[in-house]
Amino acid sequence: MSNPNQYKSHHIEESDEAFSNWFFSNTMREIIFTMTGMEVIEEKATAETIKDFKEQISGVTMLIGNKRIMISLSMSMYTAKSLIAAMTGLRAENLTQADLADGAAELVNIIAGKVKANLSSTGDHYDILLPYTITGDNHSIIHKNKVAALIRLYHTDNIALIAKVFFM
Amino acid sequence: MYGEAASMEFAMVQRFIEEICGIALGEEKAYLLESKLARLLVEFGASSFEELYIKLCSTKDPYLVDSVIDAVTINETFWFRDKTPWYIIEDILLPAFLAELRDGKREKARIWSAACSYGQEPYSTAMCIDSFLNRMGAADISSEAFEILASDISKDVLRMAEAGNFDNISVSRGLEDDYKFRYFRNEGRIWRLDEDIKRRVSFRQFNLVDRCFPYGQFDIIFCRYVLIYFSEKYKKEVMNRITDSLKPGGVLFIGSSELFEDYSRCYTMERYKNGIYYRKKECW
Amino acid sequence: MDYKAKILSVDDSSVIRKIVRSSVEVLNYSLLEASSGDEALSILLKEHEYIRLILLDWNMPGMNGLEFLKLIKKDNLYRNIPVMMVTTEGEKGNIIKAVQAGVSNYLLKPFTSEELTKKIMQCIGRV
Repeated sequence: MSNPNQYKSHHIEESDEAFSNWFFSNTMREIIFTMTGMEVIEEKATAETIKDFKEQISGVTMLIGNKRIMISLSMSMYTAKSLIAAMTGLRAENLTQADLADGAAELVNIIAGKVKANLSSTGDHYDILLPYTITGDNHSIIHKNKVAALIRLYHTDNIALIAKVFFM
Repeated sequence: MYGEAASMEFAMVQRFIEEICGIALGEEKAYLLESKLARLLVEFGASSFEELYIKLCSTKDPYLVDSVIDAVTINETFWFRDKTPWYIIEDILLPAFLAELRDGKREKARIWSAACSYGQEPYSTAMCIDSFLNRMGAADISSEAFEILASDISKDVLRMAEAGNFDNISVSRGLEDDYKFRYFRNEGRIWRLDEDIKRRVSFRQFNLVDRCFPYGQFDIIFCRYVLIYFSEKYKKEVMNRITDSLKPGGVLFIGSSELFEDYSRCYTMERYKNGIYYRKKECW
Repeated sequence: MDYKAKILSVDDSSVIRKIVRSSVEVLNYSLLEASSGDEALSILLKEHEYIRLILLDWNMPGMNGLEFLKLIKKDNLYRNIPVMMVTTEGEKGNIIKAVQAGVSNYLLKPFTSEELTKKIMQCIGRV
């Protein structure tokens, strides 16, 4: 297991395996489990491997500090309904579009909060922008000139989400 | 965490926590511990973690200690978590117990849920047993034949478990509809567990790090998703005492994602339907 | 007029307020909701006599949680209502600021409904 102390004095590089493992992976699974009760499996992904993934709703936020980090969480409407129904104890069919948009934004907000806390333990302070949601069949989160540093797929037998992290 | 001094005082608090409840919070969890304890700094009038540590050691104020333990313990909340322990109980253990009870070879079966949190684990077991006895038409067997002890380190958590009231969200986690509608009464947003099922579980406050396990020996022990938070030293010590609390031939369930590396000294590992259980050897 | 004891949830996320509703109602309180500090102030004006606890987010558009907290702690009518922060904000310095400003308990997101229920119970018990 890598020694987290080594990160105290240097800034996190987007290619750092440690960023993705320490800051991100455990964070995502723990958050999804705590908020929804679902135990998701994590898989590394690339733009190529997820090209057929149906993104219908995405929660997006940014962390501003030494670097600018954009985090997006994309999924189908079906996944959004399943997750938010599990989070709230409400039935999926009783959720409105507004609930789904709000839920997607709040999930990415909670994730950003944990990532921010993780980063602050290395001395880097970040601010989180208020999260927002994008909806639309088959939209993609793409940043001009930038490739997502990290793409991860989280899924169970029924649901799937894609998390992307961009370093600007 | 920056600076040597901050690290040192923090390490003191971490060590105190480990000694008082076994939980090891590694360096990478430092920020989390800070967040969880920050409030206590103000509440107990400590301007630093060093002062908090001094208060912890000198005043031994039980409320302060309880507050610290409360801040660092993580409570799992899931019905029939992993599912497989209850398949094993229903298909393998209960039929054997039933036969022994009927033959007079056994007076009762004792079960311990050793980190019961809000009660889902022991109540799942009580429902499983009730459902089994009904299915088997075992009207001759009283529910008193199955003793379920549930313990946890936190008084507040136990209080909630004993009340047996669950909210809309927590009642949906892992509970199949047939159990939900059979064993719970819904009053608006409150789901109240059947009194009969509640009565079958006795709750006790107990710290697994205590040297003395005063509850005798059990046929089944659940010790799941708690030792993962413990340091190696305490994990081993607790496991030894858990093993001593199992009858020969008794069964231990741990979390499906947990490892039990040196089980073979005292246990055989058995598998059933993707689940694993550890049976204490008759003699070793 | 409903005389049941109430808890006020101040959070711009409707989903978080729905989660809070579960915990509030299992303790037999009735929930009031505000999506901003300003909305919360209007609700407090009408209902403060019945409000036993305020659950407060930190990061909200407009007035943030800390600003709202400082405002109500200055007001004689509202200052004695206990406030619990429910937020992603986990930095020690900020938590200390909030507690010094008068917050009685603090819950970090993500949280389970049981954890929230437990903390509410620790603040004010059940009805």
